[in-house]
Amino acid sequence: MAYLELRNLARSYAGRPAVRDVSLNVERGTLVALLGASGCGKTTTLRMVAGLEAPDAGRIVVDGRDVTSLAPHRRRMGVVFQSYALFPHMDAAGNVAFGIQMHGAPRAARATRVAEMLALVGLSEHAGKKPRQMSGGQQQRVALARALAIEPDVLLLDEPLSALDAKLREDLRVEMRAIQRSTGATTLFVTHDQAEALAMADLVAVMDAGRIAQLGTPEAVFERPETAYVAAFVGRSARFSGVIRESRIDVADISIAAPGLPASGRVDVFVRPHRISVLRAGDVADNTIEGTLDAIDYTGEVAQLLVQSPCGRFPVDLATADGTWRDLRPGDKLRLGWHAADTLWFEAP
Amino acid sequence: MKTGGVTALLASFGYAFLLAPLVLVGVMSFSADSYMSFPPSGFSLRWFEALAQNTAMSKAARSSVILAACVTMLALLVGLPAALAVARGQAPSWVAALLSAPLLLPSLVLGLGLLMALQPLALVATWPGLVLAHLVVVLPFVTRIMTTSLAALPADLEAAAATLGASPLRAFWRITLPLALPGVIASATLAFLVSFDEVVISLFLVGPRLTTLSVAMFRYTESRTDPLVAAVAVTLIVLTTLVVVAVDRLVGFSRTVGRV
Amino acid sequence: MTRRQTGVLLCLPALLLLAVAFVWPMAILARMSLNETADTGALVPALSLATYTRLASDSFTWQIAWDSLVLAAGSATVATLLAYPMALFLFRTKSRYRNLLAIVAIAPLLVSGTARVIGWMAILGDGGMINAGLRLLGIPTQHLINNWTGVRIGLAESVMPYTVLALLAGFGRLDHALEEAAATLGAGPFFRFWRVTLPLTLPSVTAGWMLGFVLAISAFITPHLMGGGRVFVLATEIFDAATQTLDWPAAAALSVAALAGLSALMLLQSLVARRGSV
Repeated sequence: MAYLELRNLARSYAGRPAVRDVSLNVERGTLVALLGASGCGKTTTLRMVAGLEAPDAGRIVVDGRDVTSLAPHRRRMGVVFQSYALFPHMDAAGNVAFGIQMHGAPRAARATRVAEMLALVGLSEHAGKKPRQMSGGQQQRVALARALAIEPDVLLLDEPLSALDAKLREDLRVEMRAIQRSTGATTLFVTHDQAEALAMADLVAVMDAGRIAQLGTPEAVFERPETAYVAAFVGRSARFSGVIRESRIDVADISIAAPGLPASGRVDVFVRPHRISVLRAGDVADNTIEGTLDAIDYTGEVAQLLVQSPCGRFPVDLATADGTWRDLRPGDKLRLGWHAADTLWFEAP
Repeated sequence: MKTGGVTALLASFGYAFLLAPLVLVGVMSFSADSYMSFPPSGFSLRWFEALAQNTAMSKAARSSVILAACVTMLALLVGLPAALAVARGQAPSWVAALLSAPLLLPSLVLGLGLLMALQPLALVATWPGLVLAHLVVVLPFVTRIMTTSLAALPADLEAAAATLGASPLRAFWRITLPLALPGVIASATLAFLVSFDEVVISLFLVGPRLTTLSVAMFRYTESRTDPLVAAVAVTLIVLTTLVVVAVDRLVGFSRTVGRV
Repeated sequence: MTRRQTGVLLCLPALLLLAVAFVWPMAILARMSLNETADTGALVPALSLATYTRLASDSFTWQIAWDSLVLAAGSATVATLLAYPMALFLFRTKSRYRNLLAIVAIAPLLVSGTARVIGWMAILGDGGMINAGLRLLGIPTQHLINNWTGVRIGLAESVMPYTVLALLAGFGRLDHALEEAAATLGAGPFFRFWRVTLPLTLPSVTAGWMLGFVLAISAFITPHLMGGGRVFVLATEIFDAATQTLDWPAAAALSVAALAGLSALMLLQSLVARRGSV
């Protein structure tokens, strides 16, 4: 049985559903990311788990114990808020000590635990600093230490990195994941940043309009999206819409090969830009398409091409390691190709 | 988490305490008794009739309206340019401080000072004296609201008008003033109400032939305890509410004065 | 013309008005306090501190000063205690009636002070609501008006709208997420209030109390009308000296001394507040 179970959670505000029907099992010690655009219900779901919102329907079960109607202060959920919500009138140690104190630990044990937690997040030096004297990254660590200090049943992270700048975000991502692994905290993590979700999570739940559209490993969510929404939300794609004819997909003047097609119907086609390659004369591929190069942007590891074709405009990522991108100029005629297996398709609604 | 029930309960005590005298004023104004007692032995409109026949009260009320109207106009004329200078950062900081200084002073002390200054000039119990005194009280409100309202306007509007060929005066007249109109109306309303309500300073400066309604109410309450003043108060509350609601519909008070 | 000159020009009418009707009267008041009063009550032009020493050597002056302080402190405390939950409720509530409730909280400001005194007379008077209730229960009636109790109640009510506003203005520091964070860390409603809400709102409580105190000690209408001639405070004393006994130097000296005291108090409070915010 899963350690944290959400069963058919639903919640609406003033008649407008925020969470429609969310069921999710989180195994002990794993990190599950709730990934979605703003307004998809991911934060509401997290707040219901924390006890800060009451669900209209559904149950929340922790380790076989139904906590649905328990007040937040009786739940032992460690929450890192998006704004951190550090108590401005207490120093770092005071913030970390607060929860331990509320759970009635003796004074000596409390001091040891606070020191342990601050050491865990690498802030032993800053125990006496008030939140406003600390950088955003340090505040984030205090918030994490404070949440972990109560030895929470479940750790809940609400966009914990969104307030930080890009470089720091990547560093802290690695660090937080390491801390989560070392403490073995069962974690639910809310984010709108797919890179964050893919890099940190054991399982990713992509949310759309108050429901979980797909639950899977980061690789499964990215490589084998189950709905057009997930394919569109996670990662970029070349997108076409076509009609199935003779076990292939007709898009404008070309015909695309794809695995497992039904006999007929309209479909939306997605191909990841890094799966498309620029073909040289004589190269063959399962699928080929011709177009004119509209723009080329060098971004480091890859050059992002924008190609105009009769089927529409689409992106192509070209690895820069071999230097071939240097020969390309806007206006060049290109022939592009990809494997049939890399064609993702979804029946059009 | 919802707003705590305990907070709501304690807040309702506060509201009860705050509103109790107002409710009782309403009840007493309809009393049929000739003195203040609760509960009234019956209800009637006799005190509203008595008010309608009380020439002293209606004369004082007329003076109060004229006074408040004059004070409002003059306060806008004097306050608006000053607020403009402060909002644009053109005024030295001591000017802004001085403009709101009368608010910090107890009106008893201000009234006493005005009495001592106006007595030698024979301005006590005259229209000019009262207008001058009320202007000092009202001006801080007008400049403060107008400064907020003008400062909230996008900074580049007048500059844009200037690049399009408008002189500073025309830019003010065609762009700034129309946009600041809600603030003007709000501060005019407040100025009128503050002047109409002013009593302590007026107490020093009125005389037998020129008095204001709030002073008349005060003097009446000093000597008699019957529900006549309650009837005056209810009439005023109804009128004030009508004015405030009308102005709010017109320009949105809460928007202009800022969220409370 | 420079920007500065334009600014001064725009302010000129207002500055002239304030010079004539604010600065000049205050100067006259200060000057008046240095005059003397003859035994006959006649004003003697002078340039001395005789009036101040006369007042300072009179124990009655110290008595009313002390009574005024105690009265204002008591009223401000009652007002703050009652206003705090109101402000907290208004700050937190998501009710669509929030704006209406906020307006109702400051609505008494739009009603004349005299009228509110009439309302209190109907509640606290010998034939008022409370005593009617006591009679109904067979409990001896109480004198609740024309004494210090009545004035304290009336003053507390009259400064409350300002106290609510001052508290609300200072509640900005109180982020709802902080109370939620405290809850997730195991703090129940009492500890959430005691360890998070109260400490964070303490500066605005001080500011609100201070405002209430200053307004209460300067108030004249309520102590005069609700004191029934038996309550003597600085404000009533100044008014009587100015309009009844016509001892203008004394009225002026009392005003100047009271202003000096209030200024010192406010300076102290702002110093404390600044230290607290570092």
